[in-house]
Amino acid sequence: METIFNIGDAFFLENKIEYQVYDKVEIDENTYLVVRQVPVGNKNDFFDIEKFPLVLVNEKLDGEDVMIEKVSDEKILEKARQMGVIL
Amino acid sequence: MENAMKVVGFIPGEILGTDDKVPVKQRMHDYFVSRNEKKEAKKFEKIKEKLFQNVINSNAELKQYYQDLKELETTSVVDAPTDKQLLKEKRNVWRGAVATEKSDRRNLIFNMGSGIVSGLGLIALSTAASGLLSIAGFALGAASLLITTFKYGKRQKFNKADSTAKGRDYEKTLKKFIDAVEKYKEVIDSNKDVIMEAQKKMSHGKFKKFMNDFREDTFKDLGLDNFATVEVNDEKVALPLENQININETQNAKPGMKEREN
Repeated sequence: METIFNIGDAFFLENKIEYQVYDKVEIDENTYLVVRQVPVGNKNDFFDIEKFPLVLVNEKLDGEDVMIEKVSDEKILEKARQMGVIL
Repeated sequence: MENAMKVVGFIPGEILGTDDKVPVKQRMHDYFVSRNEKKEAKKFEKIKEKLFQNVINSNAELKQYYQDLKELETTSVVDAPTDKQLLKEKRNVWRGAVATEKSDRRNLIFNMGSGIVSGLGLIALSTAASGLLSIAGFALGAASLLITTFKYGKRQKFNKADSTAKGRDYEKTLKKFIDAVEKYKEVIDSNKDVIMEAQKKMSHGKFKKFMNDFREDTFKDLGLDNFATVEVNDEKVALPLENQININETQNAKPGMKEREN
């Protein structure tokens, strides 16, 4: 299924935290995005990307706004873990 | 991440790239910095254009020069021509226009004649043939005359009493005007930081006043407010008052802008 965001895209939310899309996964005929918070760091800094876990999110449209929602359904999360897309 | 939060910013992956040597955060930062710079540059261009238009529109003659200037700019798309080339082009346009005007006069007389002759001819023929044809003959003759007069009239309006003497004076004026305009653009550019800072800090009203003052001062410095209308060959031509355009004095950023900003 088509999604608004694609792998490689970056976006940030109202809380100013930035995320990047790492993967897309289809579970029970729904497509979810696998995102990770963009680590703080510049050219001269070392950073540990693993500190920020991959998160399964769902995107949806609310009028003109694009909303991002963290998946909390344990069944879906379990399937995602089994597929190896999140820890 | 809170449940269902609004996305307020977005960078497509294609723009962000996949350069692993540069952290994503840095790439995002670079993108936003570059985007903001572009936005700021665009904003400045708008302000600059507004400042510029204010000056141009404040004087009918300047407006005319500017329109001519723009016309010349749009006709030379490939290589930016020098002032000399622009003026040469303008001169050729005038020469062409004068030649066309003469040719139009000849055409007018010829077409008027042919229109009348064809009308009369058709009357003669139509008298013999029928009354209807007579009306058609008249109509054709009149139409021919009308079309020619209309075309000629339009051309006359366009070439509004051009003459070589006026052309030469106009050329001189246009050259001075081009120089002054270029200098004006330089003055705006050299004050970019001050203008943008003022735009950020000042209220709309204050900034408007600031821009007006800037315009008036620069306008005065460049002598653009001293264009006068004189008679050349019985035609009114706008000319700058000699010695008023002292463009060399405005090489550097105008003093006093910082103070005004405060």
